[in-house]
Amino acid sequence: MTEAMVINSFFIVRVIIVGGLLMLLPRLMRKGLLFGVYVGEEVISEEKARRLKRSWLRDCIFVMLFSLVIGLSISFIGNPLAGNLTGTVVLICTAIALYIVYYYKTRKLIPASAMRQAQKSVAVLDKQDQSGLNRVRIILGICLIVSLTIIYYALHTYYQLPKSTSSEVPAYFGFIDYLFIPLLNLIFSSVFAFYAVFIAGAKRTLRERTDAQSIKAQDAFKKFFIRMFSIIAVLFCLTLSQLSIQIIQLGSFDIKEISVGTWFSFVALFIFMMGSLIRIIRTYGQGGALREHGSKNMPLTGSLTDNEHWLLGLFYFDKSDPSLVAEKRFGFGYSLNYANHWAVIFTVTQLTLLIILIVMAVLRFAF
Amino acid sequence: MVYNVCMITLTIDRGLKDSVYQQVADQIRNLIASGNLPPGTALPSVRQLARDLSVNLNTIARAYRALKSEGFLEIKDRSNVTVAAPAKNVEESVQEKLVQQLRVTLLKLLQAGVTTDGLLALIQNEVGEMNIEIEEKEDD
Repeated sequence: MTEAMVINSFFIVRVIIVGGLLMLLPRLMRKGLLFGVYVGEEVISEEKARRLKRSWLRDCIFVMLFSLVIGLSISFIGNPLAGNLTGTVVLICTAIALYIVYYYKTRKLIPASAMRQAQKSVAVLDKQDQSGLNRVRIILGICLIVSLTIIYYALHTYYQLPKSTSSEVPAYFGFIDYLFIPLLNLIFSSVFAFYAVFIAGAKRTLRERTDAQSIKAQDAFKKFFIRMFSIIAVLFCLTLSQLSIQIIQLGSFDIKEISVGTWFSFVALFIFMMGSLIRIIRTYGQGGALREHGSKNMPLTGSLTDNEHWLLGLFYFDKSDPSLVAEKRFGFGYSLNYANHWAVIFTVTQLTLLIILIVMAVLRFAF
Repeated sequence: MVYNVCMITLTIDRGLKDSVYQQVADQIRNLIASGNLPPGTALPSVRQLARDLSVNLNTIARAYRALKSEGFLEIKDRSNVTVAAPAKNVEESVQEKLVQQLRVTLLKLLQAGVTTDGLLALIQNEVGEMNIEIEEKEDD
């Protein structure tokens, strides 16, 4: 198999996964929600909403084919990598554009009664067990300590290197080579660990006259996400720490190559993430939607019904809500409440670190 | 392992005339009076309930403080709130204040056209719904 075939295969698989997910998403949302908009449990069953869902399927297939044609054409004409990258960018941009179009189409279906639901909230009068929260805080602490220690070790080793250049020291092992993967480790492991902590404190979003099954579905979904993000954080920390140490040892001539075991760790991480995604799609749905049976026709309440506090149905912004996260209306998991200053601080910090990484990568490979 | 789900829920509606803290306090009070929240039951912390209902922390804190002053709740700190047991001996000043409030309500009911027998039936009905075990006191 040539290199071009491998690259194109990865691209095709990526398009199928992303396109497939997009097609499935409307079916996996909680009843009453459509393309990031709360339209109510009655409207969702009507012909207009069903027609929108059917045309969404058709348009997703078009987006997939369009990006495949663009990407593979560029790949066959000249550069497979350029084709891969272009095709991926086209896929992402057209998918986002498609979603925005459907978001605004769905807004026209909002009945007057939907606004009334936004004024209601339901809470269960139970004192939630904090042991789960303490566990994820410990995991976060461990990930931060390990990744910061690796960064210190990388910097310490770099500055201990002999100053004089020698033909034995490979030219490419500069400051960026030593620091890049440890910084990547800090970002990825801490992001997932932080999200696990945020979700551990997330609220339930219940329906009016909710039943025990619905509450269990919410709790099961939340627990699954906490566990998944915690494991992903630990796996990222382990694999990237392993890789960081081996790169540092490579630069010091302590080893001759990166061990195969390290690459297997990445494969294991990827398999775990895919497996988790499949489990969400098959077992839970978003917010436990697939497990709500009896009360799924009851009206939703709380942040999920409040159309005015969601930007494009994706980003939650409500000053009066003290929560840090809220269940997503389109997609899987939870959205940060960007009116909460901690959410802003977290996002800005992560973006800053990512920009530093991108600049480092550009400096490393361009110059 | 059986997973027991607490099914006691609170619903607030910002569209109603009653303030949110009033709705929270009234519902908890009714749940305690009906026996659904027996003495010693741990309630969610101020932060947890405020988050779940998407309201300000101070709103829930105010509701909890009001219920504490009425003797319905015991609050050790913001995260340790439990349902209080009914007092063993009634304080005269507390009783006097509550009787005064009762008198006003009864006068309003009479003025609204409820008869004396109707009043007694109402009171019996309300007490019956409260699930209170009335202990018979021995005469001194």
